[in-house]
Amino acid sequence: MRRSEPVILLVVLACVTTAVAGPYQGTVITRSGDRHTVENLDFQGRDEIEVYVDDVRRLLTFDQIDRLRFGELRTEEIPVALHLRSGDHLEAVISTGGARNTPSASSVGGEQVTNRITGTTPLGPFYILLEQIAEIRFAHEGEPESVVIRPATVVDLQGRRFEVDSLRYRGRTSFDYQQDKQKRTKELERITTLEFEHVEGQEIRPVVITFVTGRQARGTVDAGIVRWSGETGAMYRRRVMEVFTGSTPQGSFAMGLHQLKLIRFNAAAADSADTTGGDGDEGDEGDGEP
Amino acid sequence: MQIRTSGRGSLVIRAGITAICLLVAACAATTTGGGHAPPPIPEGKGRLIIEAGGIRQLNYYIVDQDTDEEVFADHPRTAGSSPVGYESGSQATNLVQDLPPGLYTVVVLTDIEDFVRVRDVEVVMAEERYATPQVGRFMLRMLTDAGAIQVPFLITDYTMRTVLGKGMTSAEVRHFIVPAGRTYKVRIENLPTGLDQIRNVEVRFGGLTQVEIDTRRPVEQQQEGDDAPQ
Repeated sequence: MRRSEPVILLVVLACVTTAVAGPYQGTVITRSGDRHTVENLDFQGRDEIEVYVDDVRRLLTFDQIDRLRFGELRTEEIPVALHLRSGDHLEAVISTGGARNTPSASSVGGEQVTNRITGTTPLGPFYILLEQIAEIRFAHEGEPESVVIRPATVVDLQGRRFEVDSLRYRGRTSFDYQQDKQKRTKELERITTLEFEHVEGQEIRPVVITFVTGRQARGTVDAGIVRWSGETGAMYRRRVMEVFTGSTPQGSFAMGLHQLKLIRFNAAAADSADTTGGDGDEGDEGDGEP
Repeated sequence: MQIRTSGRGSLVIRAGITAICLLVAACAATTTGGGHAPPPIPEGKGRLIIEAGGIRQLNYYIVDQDTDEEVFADHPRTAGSSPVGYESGSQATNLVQDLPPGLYTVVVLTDIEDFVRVRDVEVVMAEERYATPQVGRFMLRMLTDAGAIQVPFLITDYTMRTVLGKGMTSAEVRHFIVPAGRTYKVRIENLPTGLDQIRNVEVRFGGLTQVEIDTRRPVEQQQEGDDAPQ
């Protein structure tokens, strides 16, 4: 019995290592010019990075990014030029503040939060602070996952129609809703229409979601317009008035959940999204599942 | 050698053998089912264990990457803003699931708007596999002269540009689950009392950050207040 224990331990460790190991690799160039080829890249334990584009928070996963070039350090932030695999180019800012608790806080367990990139090299474990990096070039395998943001027709409660490009929900390409008090998220590219029902005086609005497959799901969204205590004007505007954002030929577009009646995504673009998505019919089987 | 037994002796021997058999069967049953060992993996399935750094209960769902279907969902935790939420002392966990072999995505719902996804988790038949979502937890207590109280608070990003969620403090022990590895800010504002407190909250994987906002008056000050002429 005792002989088998080390074997079991090794198997468990192998399993843990397999699950934790990330698939991202690339070249990290430091500000002093050193280059490191690093595998299993992650940032603070995750494969995503939080950036601010025009003051709007966005989470970008590593598989969306081709290259990051860091600018001059500022107090608690670093400007960064992001070259995405889709071909887009973003000028953003990464916050480097925090990483320390206030005197009124204490932590039990876990390792200290630092803004660092970690990974492995042939020489062993690798980590570097974000402030010391000049550039990260990812070496991706295969084609990037296509995230198609289709043009959409947005109708508000007063009947006004807007033709919107690059429509995003809270800066993301997925839509969140509640089902029986359970939070759900679905990619916008899998949705054809979002129909918001209007119930007078109700902050929780029912929504009917029609997927590309034709299936429908019902849920609710919180369309409250009450300002929360502690919320500044800018926070309130972002949370309530700028839920769906995009661009129109006349300029930028923003609308709150309390103002919406219908969002219909361009059907022709939906077809092209399906063909470029590469999943074919099989991948669409479960789109409408709640 | 031949052993001769009377009819009564034979009966005693048979009863003895039956008793031994029953005892052996009972011991075997106790050994396999009564301990703290996990139950065996059902035939044709593999076991997915979600290692969340000591957190026993999470709201999460599992999606089959081949069919894009949700194969499992469990949401035992109340929302962070709910006034009735607290941590129970139960050791029960919902983080072990037996699933058919395949490739899955685990999506953990947190008390803020961000999800934590673990992609490409491969479940292999009759084997245990681990997924490690990077989530951490913090606890916020608001202390007044009357003790720990319930007050709503905001959870924002470090720059305080975006509201990520809201919570409610509790007189009981209460943890808030958020993506780990980041520093957040929490803000409690109560205009009638002039209270406005902002705190950094650094959340680590496998750790528990405790933040305490103490608005209690010192004892001397309280006594002065009580003795003050009316």
